[in-house]
Amino acid sequence: MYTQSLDLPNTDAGNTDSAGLPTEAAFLARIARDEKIEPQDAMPEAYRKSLIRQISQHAHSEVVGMLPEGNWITRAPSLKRKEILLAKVQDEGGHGLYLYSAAETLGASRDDMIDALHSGKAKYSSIFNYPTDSWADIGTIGWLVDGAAIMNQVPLCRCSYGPYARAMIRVCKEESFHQRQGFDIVRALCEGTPAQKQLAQESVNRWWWPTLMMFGPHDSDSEHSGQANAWGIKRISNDDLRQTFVDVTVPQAAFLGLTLPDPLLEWNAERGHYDFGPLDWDEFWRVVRGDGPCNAERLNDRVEAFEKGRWVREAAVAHAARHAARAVSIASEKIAA
Amino acid sequence: MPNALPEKTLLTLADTCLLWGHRLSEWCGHGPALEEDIALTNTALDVIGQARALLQLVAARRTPATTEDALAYFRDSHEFRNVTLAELPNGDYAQTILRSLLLAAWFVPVWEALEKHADRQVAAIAANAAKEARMQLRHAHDWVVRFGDGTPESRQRIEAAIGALWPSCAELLDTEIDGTARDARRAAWSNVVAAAFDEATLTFPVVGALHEPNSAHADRFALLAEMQSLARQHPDAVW
Ligand SMILES: [Fe+2]
Ligand SMILES: [Fe+2]
Repeated sequence: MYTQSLDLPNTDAGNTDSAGLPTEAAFLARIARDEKIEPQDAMPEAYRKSLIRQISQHAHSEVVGMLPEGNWITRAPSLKRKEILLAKVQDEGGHGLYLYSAAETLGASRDDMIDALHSGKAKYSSIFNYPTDSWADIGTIGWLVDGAAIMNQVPLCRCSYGPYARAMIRVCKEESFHQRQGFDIVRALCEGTPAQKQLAQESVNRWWWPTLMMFGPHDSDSEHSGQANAWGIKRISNDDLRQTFVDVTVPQAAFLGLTLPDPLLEWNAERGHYDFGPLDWDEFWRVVRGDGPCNAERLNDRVEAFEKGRWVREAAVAHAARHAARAVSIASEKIAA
Repeated sequence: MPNALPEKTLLTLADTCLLWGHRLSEWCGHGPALEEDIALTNTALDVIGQARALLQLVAARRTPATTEDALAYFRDSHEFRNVTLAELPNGDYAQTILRSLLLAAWFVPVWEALEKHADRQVAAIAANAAKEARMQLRHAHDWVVRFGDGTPESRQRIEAAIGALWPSCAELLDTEIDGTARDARRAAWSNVVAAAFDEATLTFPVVGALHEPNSAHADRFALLAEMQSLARQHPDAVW
């Protein structure tokens, strides 16, 4: 999901450290002592690259994630819901901003990161490649998708890289508001008319499996989880997080009077966990590789907004440069006088 | 209530805020930079908040009492009382920003007058709104200056925006708001907008005479068709 990059082939991170960098052993020892790594600290090049990849793809997920929910702002069915949704989508933009800044502390530039997104080189969470067909999807996304995001991101608050860990603490506080507002939308639908309740049930039917896929492939199929664990970037495995999410969510669905679309879902007293059916990994990889229902539309929307905004950004730069030049020439006149 | 501001004035203010906020909210997720996306959404949240406060007041004062959502979602287009400028489509970013300048420059003296009104509930809303409008004005002012004094393209775009929006300014300035002096507001608006244009090295055109107002309001009709669509599909629903 937001840590999806840790599960996918890493095309550019090297393994060799240039001279003067700490040995891998010394670095791992710092991490084992739970020390935070800060921007000015020496770090293995592969660690730095892996973090840039992880943090930038997390940032992209926040920004692309504004689109599916943004789709319902103008049609929100009450003014209160409209305000809450606007604030929520705005928060996601803010998350994108802190995360791009955190990646910049590692020497990445925002322009390069955005280029990588727009060229299709960088990924973002696959969940945002599903459509928001009904208002109920806004509730379901908050409840399930933000709920899964919290589960994934809380361990990142203890990530070994200081700026990322601190960004996550701030983000997680807002995510819990997102989840509550989503749950509240679904609750209102479930307590509403039969048509509203049906919207909620259909929405949960569509989002349940994609949400479980947000936690990524099975631990046995995840390419980078081992290294990310050793570096203290990722602390809990995909399968463990997924299980926790299922265990927490099943009683919430029951409280709402909604069913979850899995005939194999059943309490297993021996394990102390819910058993659940197999995920459709073909679908998972299809969406990751770009063939989901909305991949093209999402990327298109991002590229279009960026290109349409180009003249705005250029005007700001030109104006600032001219202003600075004027300030310098006034100052030099004063010095000359 | 003897000092109550008339309902038609409350609705002019509320509907102008609501429709303007709707247009601003269309940018959310599509802004020219993340920082601007967030700033524009702040303005949208401010003005939608002002609309809600005013509609709640109208709803509570009606007999029988109604709700803000009934007023927002179940009035037909011809019952809305907004100034036309608020309902116009966004156009490009220059036009969106220019509209914000023109509306914020109009709202600042409105709210500053109403802040002192004897209708205490209105005065409380206006006091808060005045602060927000001053911030919106600063944001829009700064961008108009950057566009006028930026690149050839940005200058051409802000000039085109002036051409597109100027015809709606006569109606804006002609709009009566009880509890405020129209001529003083008009002078304040002209000063503030002309100062921004001056800093942006743009020409401040003469505001023409009021034409027969465009009674069709096709843009408002389309805006409301979208905004009200879901609520009207489920008229008995609570959300
Ligand atoms: Fe977020
Ligand atoms: Fe969120």
